Amino acid sequence: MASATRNAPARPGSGRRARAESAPFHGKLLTGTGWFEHYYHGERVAILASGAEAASILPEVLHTAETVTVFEETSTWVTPLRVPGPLRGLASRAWLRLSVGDAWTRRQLTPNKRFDSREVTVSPSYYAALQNPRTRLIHWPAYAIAVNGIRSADGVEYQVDTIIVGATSRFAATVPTTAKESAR
Amino acid sequence: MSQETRDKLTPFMADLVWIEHIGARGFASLAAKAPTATIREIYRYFHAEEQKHANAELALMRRWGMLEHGRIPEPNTQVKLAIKVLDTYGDTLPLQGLAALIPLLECALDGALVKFLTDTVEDPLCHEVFRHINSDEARHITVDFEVLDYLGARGWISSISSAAELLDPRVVVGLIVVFAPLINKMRDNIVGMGLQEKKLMNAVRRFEKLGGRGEYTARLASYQALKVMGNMIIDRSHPYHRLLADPMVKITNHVPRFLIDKPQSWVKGLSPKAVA
Ligand SMILES: [Fe+2]
Repeated sequence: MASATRNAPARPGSGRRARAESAPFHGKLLTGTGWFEHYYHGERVAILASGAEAASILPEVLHTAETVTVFEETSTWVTPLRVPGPLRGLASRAWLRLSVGDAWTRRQLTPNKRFDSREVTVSPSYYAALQNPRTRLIHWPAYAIAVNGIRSADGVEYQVDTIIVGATSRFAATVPTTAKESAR
Repeated sequence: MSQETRDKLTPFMADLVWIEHIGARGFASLAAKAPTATIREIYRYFHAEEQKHANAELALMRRWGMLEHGRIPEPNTQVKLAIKVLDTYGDTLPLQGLAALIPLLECALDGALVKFLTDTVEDPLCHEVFRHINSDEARHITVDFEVLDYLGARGWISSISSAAELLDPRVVVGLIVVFAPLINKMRDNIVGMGLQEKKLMNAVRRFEKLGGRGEYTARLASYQALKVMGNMIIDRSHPYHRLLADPMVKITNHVPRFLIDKPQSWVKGLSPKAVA
């Protein structure tokens, strides 16, 4: 378990924030491509991932899972189809405006001009999946993986059966290897 | 807790919950305008932590039987106005304005209101909860003043040009129409409940003292303006109350509903439950 802290990224404070608890998570912890092979029927699932990753994971998982809680670590621009370079910015803005009616959700899904990547992810169903009543979008930073789920910075424990850790998630480095094996 | 204390404290707790929730929204705006990526990340945590405070205070209200049928208390008109302004202009208000306003509110909450509450209520859980909240708040205040100093250190040209930003009518109207009545209503409520005005004074002194420690903070027009405003607010005999704040409370009590009706969905984010 000590390796969890040693592997943490060197960013100030992030080792404290993104950490695996000493008592391991009771459910399934899926890393890498593990999420693709798992069968989610009736499960409560949490996704810890960047927006770009969540855009491909969420629509798939939502087909069979009972509920999905998405901890979107960074937002991403999305277009429903491939759009030629110069039009991408405009198209992704329009797509967000058209697909997401709620202003606050839209604000959360909008990448920051200065800090977030300008890359555009292609996904026809991400926004629809996010607004599905079985999906919860959480914009609070996830604080730790606890025994029964994910504890986030707002002090709430989101209880789930399965956690998917995206490859570029800041939890990817801190998830203990034993958990990685148990996922197989 | 006696029925009398409960009745007395219910509106106070409801105000407290909503002020924390608005503070949370303020950090969301700060995060969007943060000067560096690290500060943005810190503000994202503060945003969540303020919401945590609001939820914890809501949980205390539930514990004390202050929530009717588990319902979240309705915000008062002044709070609704503040929500409206944050929804409409929150993300475009000048950074140094919000960055100075939030620590002033936190000094007041932390130093005066919360102390008043823990002095009044004997519930050990309440003391435990506010010990945590206070330690968060102390951390927030430290960072808030570091950021102010950082903004001040950008030099005189930047200080002057950002001071000009503060003359933006949205800022002036925001202060007069939203901030002044919101604070005055709460101030009078709590003094009416028995808080000594001296404690409010200490809160503003603390704001001045912490700001005075920063080498460059004094260059910020927003910090200077709020210092003056804070001193006017605590002095009940100051003409500020007679000429501006009291009439504004009266006027805002009659704001037509359609103006402040549809808040954005963050307003519904409150919950007294620790598990979801
Ligand atoms: Fe707070």
